Amino acid sequence: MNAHNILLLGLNYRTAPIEIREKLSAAQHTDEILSQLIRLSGMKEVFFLSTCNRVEILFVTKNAPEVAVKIVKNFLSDYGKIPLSQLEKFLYVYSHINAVKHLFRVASSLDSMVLGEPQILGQIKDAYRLALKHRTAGPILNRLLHKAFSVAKRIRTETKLAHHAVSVSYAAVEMAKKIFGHLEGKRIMLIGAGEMAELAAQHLLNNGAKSLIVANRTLERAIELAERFHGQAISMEEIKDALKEVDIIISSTGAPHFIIHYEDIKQIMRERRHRPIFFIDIAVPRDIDPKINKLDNAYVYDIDDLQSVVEENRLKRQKEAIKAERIVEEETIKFQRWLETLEVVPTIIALKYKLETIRLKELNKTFNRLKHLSEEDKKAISIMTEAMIKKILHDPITFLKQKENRDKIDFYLDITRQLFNLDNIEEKHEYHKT
Amino acid sequence: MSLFGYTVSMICFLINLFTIHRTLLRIATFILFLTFWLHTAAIGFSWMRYGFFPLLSMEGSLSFVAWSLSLTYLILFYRFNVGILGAFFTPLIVSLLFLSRLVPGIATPPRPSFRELWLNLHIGLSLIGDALLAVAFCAGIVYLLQESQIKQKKTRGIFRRLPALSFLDTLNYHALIVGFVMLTLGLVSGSIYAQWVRGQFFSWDPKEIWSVLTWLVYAVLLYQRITKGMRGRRAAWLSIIGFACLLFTFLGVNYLLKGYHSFR
Repeated sequence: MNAHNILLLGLNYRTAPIEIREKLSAAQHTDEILSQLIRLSGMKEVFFLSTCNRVEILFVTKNAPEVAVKIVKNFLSDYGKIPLSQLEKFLYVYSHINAVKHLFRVASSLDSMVLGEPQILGQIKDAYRLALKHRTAGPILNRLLHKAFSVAKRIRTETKLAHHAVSVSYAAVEMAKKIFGHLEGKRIMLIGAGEMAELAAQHLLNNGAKSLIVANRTLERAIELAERFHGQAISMEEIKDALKEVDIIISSTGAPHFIIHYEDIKQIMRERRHRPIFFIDIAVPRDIDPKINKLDNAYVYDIDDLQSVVEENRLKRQKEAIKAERIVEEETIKFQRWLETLEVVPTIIALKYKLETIRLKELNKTFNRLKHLSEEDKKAISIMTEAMIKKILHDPITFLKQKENRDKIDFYLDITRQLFNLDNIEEKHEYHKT
Repeated sequence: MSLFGYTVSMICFLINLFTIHRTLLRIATFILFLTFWLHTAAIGFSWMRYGFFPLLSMEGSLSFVAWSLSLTYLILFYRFNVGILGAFFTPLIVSLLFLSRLVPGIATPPRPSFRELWLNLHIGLSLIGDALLAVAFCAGIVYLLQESQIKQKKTRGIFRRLPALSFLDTLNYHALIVGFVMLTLGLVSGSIYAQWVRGQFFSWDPKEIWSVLTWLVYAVLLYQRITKGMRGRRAAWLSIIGFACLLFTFLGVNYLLKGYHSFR
């Protein structure tokens, strides 16, 4: 196992407050970070995931785990301009099989704010695509991520974890109902147009909300969205006027500072005759001044707050999660087996075993058809086939054992296993365990 | 008997408040429902026995307010399915009935006359007003509770089962409107009665002064609500302050200050 150490280093909404995540959120710089990461010493493969809820760096390294972790931590500390001593409090590190398990849990949304929400899988797929583009994913991560996708799919079909699968958008609707009672006739304003914001708007409209206003930095996108929801598009400058009319605001811009300020709302509340107003701030960094929540009849929920709403659903889905965790456990063990076979000896054994099985099966067939063969003939044929297989295997086995190939051995082993379809056999017969 | 029923129902409601038990809620409401009819029968019975509606005694009026409250709860339950409010109504009902047990309960039959109708009208209207303002008070309390949960972003436990803010605010508002009208009519009929009996509309009796004070608090609240669009937390607080004045007028004045309004 010394040839490759799989490590995962990250932070999420549970371990780090929004302020820290804001500093590390890297929506625009993922490309750059990924190419910097792969250049770190000892790095063989890297996968980098950054969402508003989490940052995960999954990598395979030649270095010893302690050394590798230190290097990546230093990199993060430099990048986020957070002192290492402070940053370390928020980070978690998983190594080897625990890293695999963590990725499986994240991909199947067992680690999400909303258990069973489907967005995270898409985000991981995007991040993987990026890793492929930059050629930072090698045989181990390729296999690991594909496996993660299939684990997520298996959990979705085999458990009810994803039933009524909804995330922050669902939590937002629930909160709105607690404030407004029902949503009939309520007006919504979208500021900025993210996928999550759109989803929340869709949910609110499905629950009876009346109309939608879309404000966006680029008016084109606003118009496009507004048309889809039969709403109205406005420019960012018109937000203040619109605030007098709307009841629910969903904000998700990429702005680095607040867009809606305390003083503005304080004044607007009077003009609204104190009709309740509900801000859903799903942007990181935040768009809406949290102080607004102190005003009477104004409510502000940011993405962290919605988590607590979501926590409640978690309880309901706990039962399904137990099943899902079991699946993760199973798949992790399977993956572990595969990892173990990624060594030269087990692969050679598997290769020999496969060919031997084929040989015996075919001999058996032939002998059954050719009844006239004597025992001696049979023996001779058997010896011949044995020699054939030995000769065939000689070159590949020498190749795998060569010292010069050690550096790329993961890759060659993976290719070998794929060419000869060794992994399916290995799952049926657990020969390599003995 | 009614007191016992309400107490059992209250305990069920309180347990239901802290645990999620739908059947318990139904049981509690059912007990309340039965007790309400028992209570109604008890009031009817004493009406027959004394030959007048038992409002003139402290016992009778407390019991009447309790009865109106449980009626309101039952209406709210069947109309809006907000059983959770029972946990806030029943303690009030139980303490009112408990108080009615504590106070000496001999009602001297008044001389029946045409004027007694006005007296009964005065007391009856005031008491219905009181009960509705107690509803507004309850709605205000629950509103403040729910609002603080939402503001502090505590969305577990009790939060889930409390009604929506807008519902509580509307309940507070409507109870306030009707309660205020009743209270006003009660005051007017009272002063008309006073004009007949004592020759003056207003005689600076402590109870009268406090009644007018209470009326003023509610008047301010209603005015703010209608013209300035006041709602939510402030309105809830004002209705609680108003209710505190009301309670003092209703109970405090009788025991702490002397005046002709004291029950005989």
